[in-house]
Amino acid sequence: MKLQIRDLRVLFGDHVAASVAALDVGVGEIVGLAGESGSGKSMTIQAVLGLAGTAGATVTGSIKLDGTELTGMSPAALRAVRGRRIAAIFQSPASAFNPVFRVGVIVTRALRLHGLSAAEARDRAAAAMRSVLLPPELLSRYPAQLSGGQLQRVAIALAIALRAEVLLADEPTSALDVTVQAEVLELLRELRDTRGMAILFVSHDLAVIAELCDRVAIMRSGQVIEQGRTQEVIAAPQQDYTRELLAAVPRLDG
Amino acid sequence: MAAGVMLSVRDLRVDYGPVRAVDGVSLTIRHGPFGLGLVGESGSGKTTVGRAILRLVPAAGGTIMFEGQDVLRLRGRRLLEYRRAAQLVYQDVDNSLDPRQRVGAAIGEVLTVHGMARAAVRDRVAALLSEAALDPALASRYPHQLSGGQRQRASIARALAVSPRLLVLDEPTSALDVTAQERVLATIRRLRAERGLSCLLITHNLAIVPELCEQTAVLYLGRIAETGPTASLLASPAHPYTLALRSAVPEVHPARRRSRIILPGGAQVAAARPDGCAFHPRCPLVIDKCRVDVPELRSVAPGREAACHRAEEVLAGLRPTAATAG
Repeated sequence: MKLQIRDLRVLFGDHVAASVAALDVGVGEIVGLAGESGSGKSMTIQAVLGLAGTAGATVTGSIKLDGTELTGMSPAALRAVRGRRIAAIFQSPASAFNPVFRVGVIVTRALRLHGLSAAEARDRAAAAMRSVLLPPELLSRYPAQLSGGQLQRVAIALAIALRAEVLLADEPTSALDVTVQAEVLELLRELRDTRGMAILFVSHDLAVIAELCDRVAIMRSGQVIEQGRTQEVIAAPQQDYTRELLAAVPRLDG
Repeated sequence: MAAGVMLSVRDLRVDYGPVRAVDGVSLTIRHGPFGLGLVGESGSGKTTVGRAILRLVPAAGGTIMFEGQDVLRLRGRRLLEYRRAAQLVYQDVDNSLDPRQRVGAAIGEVLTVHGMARAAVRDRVAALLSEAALDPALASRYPHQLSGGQRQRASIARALAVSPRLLVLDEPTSALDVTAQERVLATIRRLRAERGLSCLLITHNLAIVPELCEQTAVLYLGRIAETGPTASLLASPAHPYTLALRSAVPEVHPARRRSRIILPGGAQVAAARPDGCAFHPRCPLVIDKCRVDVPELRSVAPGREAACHRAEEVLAGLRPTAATAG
């Protein structure tokens, strides 16, 4: 299993922000984490990234990447994994890019931090831009000169350029137009199918999850309350809360 | 003026410097309860139309008539009255309430500005919060102590304070998760019926339109691509852009899922309007004529108008070859 989470607990004092008994993401698989605001989805992502501690939380349990335990890893060792092998994209691409630097500078700096030469970094950034269907010339723009959808693709391009094996996607399309969302979802499918990326996709919208994810875990109040193959969970939800989430999805036929 | 018409926008134009953001838009909003959905992507000009209707940006041309009055010429007391009658609810629930002001004070301020005696304000605030499906006890809270959905309902309560007849809702739920969105839409739907409100719902998401709107107008680069009764427009679009917007709505059940039409190139900008039909560089059904001739908005079926050279074919079921379902 590419990413394996066991008995994960993210605690703020006595408060359990997220509790995940078991969650796996395999090679070439997209797993959805669904729930309302405050259900613990993002805290789970933060814990995998090793960032929950910096937010003041205590993390217990096991998070393994290809069998290697990540919890308790030294900060230096974790830095080599985070970004390089495990990449992340977030809801607001605008705040993921420092506004005073050109996009290309941000991307190549990240690549050089992970050991590439300047020339390699430039070449790989340009190639990654083409693979997310953006002209490499956009690398010379500032973040404010790109649309939200373009910036989100650049964030995905960075993950591609780093040859990331796992992509953590925290509501990556919630701030985008539905047409742009459709493009980004298509791109994520392609990462799964052609690059075998293991993707953990967080969303409050079960319709998006249903379109994208092979399996889904439903979270509520910090707990995973239901988990299974997406089509089965949607066809026969076991929990009332899952039914509520399904009923909240707006439908074209009103 | 036709009977039942509350607001009539004709040939509205709005310029931002050299850029024509809104280019000849006409819309009709009937007396409530009624809803008109104004749908389009970022940059389509939909927010600008809403702001021009409320006189928050100047119109470069066209007319806006509200209950027989020329909105663009209103001044002084009459403009103030219009601004009571037509209220705006914003997308950004985090910034539309002052973080240093308790929710009750934010609503009460509106009431006192409009002349209500202080002694009556507290009860009225409580009543408005209840109307927006909020516990009146929330009046003593600060905005950050409320969830996003509660904040949006507090904004709606504030808009209701001046007893408007028209609500302009600019992406009222796009910052909310789907469960909060459902509750906010249900609240608006109930208020629409109880108060006989007219609503202009501005959104990029076609899926939330049927809940509130009898009529829908689809906007593309500042012009109307298509307009008509919501149910018929969604069931059988006449414009390829509407087809694409419809196909972009994520669908839970595979059986109801439509073939996705991915629009190449991302949304365009009004500053670089293509020749011919503005949509032609992204249109999956483009023909030679579209690159040259600008399609006029014209009647294509009873109650339906579209600005597309192939509208009749699209209505009859023409679909992009890669996407035949739907």
